[in-house]
Amino acid sequence: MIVVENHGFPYAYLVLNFRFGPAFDPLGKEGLTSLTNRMLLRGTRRRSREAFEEAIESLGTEVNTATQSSSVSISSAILSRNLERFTQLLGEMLTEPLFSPEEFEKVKREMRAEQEAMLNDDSCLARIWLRKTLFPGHLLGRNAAGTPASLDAITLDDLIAHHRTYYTKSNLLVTSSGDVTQAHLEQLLQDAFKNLPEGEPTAWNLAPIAPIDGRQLWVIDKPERTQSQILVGHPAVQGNDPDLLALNLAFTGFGGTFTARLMQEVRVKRGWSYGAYARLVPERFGGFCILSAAPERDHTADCIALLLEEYERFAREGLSDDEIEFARNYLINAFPFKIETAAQKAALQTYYALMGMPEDTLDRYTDRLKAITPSALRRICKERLTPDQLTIVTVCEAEPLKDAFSQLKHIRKVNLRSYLDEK
Amino acid sequence: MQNPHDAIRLVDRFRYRENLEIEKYVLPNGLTVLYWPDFSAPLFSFQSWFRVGSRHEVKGRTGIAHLFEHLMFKGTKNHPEGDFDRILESFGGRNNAATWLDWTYFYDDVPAGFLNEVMALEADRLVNMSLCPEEVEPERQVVMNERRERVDNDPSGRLSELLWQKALGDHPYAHPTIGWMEDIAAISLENCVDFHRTWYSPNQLVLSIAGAVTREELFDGLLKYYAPIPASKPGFAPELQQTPPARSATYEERFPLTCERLLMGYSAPSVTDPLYPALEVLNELLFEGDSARLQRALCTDGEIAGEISAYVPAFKAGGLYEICSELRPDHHAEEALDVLFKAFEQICREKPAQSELDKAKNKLESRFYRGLQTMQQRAQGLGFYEVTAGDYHRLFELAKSYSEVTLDDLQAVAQRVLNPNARTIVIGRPSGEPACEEEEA
Repeated sequence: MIVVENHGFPYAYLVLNFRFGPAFDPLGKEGLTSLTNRMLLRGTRRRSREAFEEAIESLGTEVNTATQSSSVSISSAILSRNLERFTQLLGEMLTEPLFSPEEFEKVKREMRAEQEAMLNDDSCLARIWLRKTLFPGHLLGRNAAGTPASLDAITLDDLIAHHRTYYTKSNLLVTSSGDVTQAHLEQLLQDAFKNLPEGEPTAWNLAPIAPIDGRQLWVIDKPERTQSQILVGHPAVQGNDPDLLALNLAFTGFGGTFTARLMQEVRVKRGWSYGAYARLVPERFGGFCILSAAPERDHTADCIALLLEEYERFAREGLSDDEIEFARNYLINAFPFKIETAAQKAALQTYYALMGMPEDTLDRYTDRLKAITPSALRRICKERLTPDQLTIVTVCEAEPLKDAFSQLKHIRKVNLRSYLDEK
Repeated sequence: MQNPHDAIRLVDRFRYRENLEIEKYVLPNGLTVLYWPDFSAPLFSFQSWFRVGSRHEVKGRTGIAHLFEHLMFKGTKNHPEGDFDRILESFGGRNNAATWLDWTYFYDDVPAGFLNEVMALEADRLVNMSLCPEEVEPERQVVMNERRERVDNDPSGRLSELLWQKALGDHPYAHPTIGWMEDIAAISLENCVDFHRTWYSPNQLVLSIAGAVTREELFDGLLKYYAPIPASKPGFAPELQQTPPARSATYEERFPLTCERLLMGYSAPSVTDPLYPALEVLNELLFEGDSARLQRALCTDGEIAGEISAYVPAFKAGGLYEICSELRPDHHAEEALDVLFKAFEQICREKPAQSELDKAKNKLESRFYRGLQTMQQRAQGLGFYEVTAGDYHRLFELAKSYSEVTLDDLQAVAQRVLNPNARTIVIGRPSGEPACEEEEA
């Protein structure tokens, strides 16, 4: 349990994190984790879905579920005067879920509709294709929302078994902040969660991730686009990697701020895109790096070429000494913003814990940043970044850009898909 | 001997709760300063709220307020382009800006101890902008790309633009803040210089500062950097009228969509209207949360829509109460409209249950506290209400007003806002099928 107290206002945050993710969906049953998490809000053995919703929301709160790659969470902000009643309801939700066949089918229909709706959002579409092409054939490459076929294949028994296996005390990390004390919360949860099974901690022993076969360009064709979404990425560091901090420092200087190299080249010098960023996305298992921009359609191929050229230079040479110092100072000086509020501090500690980082990560953050030498940073960039093995995803109107794409250098394969292929 | 700080006049001190006190000052040049000290974290937010937004724009030059917001990050006589961001980032600061109908604001979130540097930079760009074509042109392209991203290639953005345009006719809220593409292209350097001269002056500005800043360092900075800047003659703006009843009409657009989208607007009360808090409570009861009436009727139980949401606008002159829905595949906007209209008729006819009202109040109370966590949120709350409502106290009054809303108020606001003869509807429907092939390079 992670608790950060602040009694300034009479409310508290409470997040239940379970340490597993959609990578544990059985093959052909993608979407099971997300479906299970959502079904928790659909009533208990004591209350119908409607009665459960009323009971929760009459306390002035809403419960949100989220399925991330490294964990699933159930979160809420609650007026502290209602905390006791609320924890009882959470306990009921976790240990006595209704899992009715009617609600099961309803949630499936909801998820199918959402899958279709996602196709209308270009940046969301690009992110789905990025994950798919970063980890082809690997459990991590699957869409957490599933597919129409995989949702059809999931049975209520699958869901009940999934719940029994993963929603356990061993997998649970509770995070709370605000107008709450650890002793009081422990007492409340001990009572509310007494029937939660002990279980076994989830073992993240997934298959190793294969590198991408050269530079793969994925063109996701969507009509009537005057602008293109571009994402470039490759598998990189996972959350507990010893090189993570050095690479994070490098990506901050390369594309993490407004003055960083990538933003200067793409936006400030050329005016090609409203934003241009590069960042790391570490996960409990796996993780990747990502470059992004959204140029006008006619600049799409040029912008891809520029991103690749800049990334190659960054990977081979790293950053200059001045750039490293600037990024280091920025990260150190900006650190108070990461822990400004009790909720932010609790969330950061939770993130470190979910990633499997050492307990002193927060306390040693500044010292460890200061200890990274420019030569070590450049060596790590060279060793860990793979500018010749990456995926490039662009959601765009393909036809007018075909010739320009064929002119791009060092692309192993151009893969053209319709945006409706995910339907 | 007179204390130089005496030039800074305290006009108001407001104690919200223990250890939470806000002060308001005015300088002789008309600059308003809101100050919310809090030393619980070693950082502060420094925000500049200008009383100019897209409603002040003239025909043919829409988008200039927003373009100018971008240009404020360019060079000055003292700092070349890029210096502003570089200096702020060098001490760990982060900054950005936004433009909306009634205002333009700039924020700097900065570690404690750098107030002097921030005020030097902010006051410098208030008076020393050195705009040149080499800086304006790439930024114009950036803004055009922003428009492509947020409007032209985003069905929600396009429908929203269409809704406000069609619903409000000639009202200054009718045109998009980002501007029409042809207007963005046509804005000249001279227009930008004029805009800066007219609207960027201390008498048009509210500084809102929250966090680890002492009164002494704040006063020193105000006297050194802001007090010497002269007030300017306010720019001409026609008297702002309350937004008219939304035009009763329905419009359709076609997009490459997989399901239909619906957007509907009703004329909303101003953020200063006594019934405004009742509309927020009503909105909560109808749309917010799993147990809200229309979440159930349209999404969870009705299974007509994937999403339903509504937005209570917070503007000086009202604006549109927007209701937005994404339909499920094989369902049509007309089905959602039918459900919505029935629900609106019912709420106008029958008072809701007391338990629904209590639930909505609890949720709004919780949301109010959540909105005051960071120094940025606090400075934003003060600056926003000072500029939009004319008084920062409105932030706290609203929170209190929620608890005073009655069932009669809910019915009154429903009857006033949800007028069946004054609603504008826009519908996005699917069009087109793309190709699919694969090729080797």
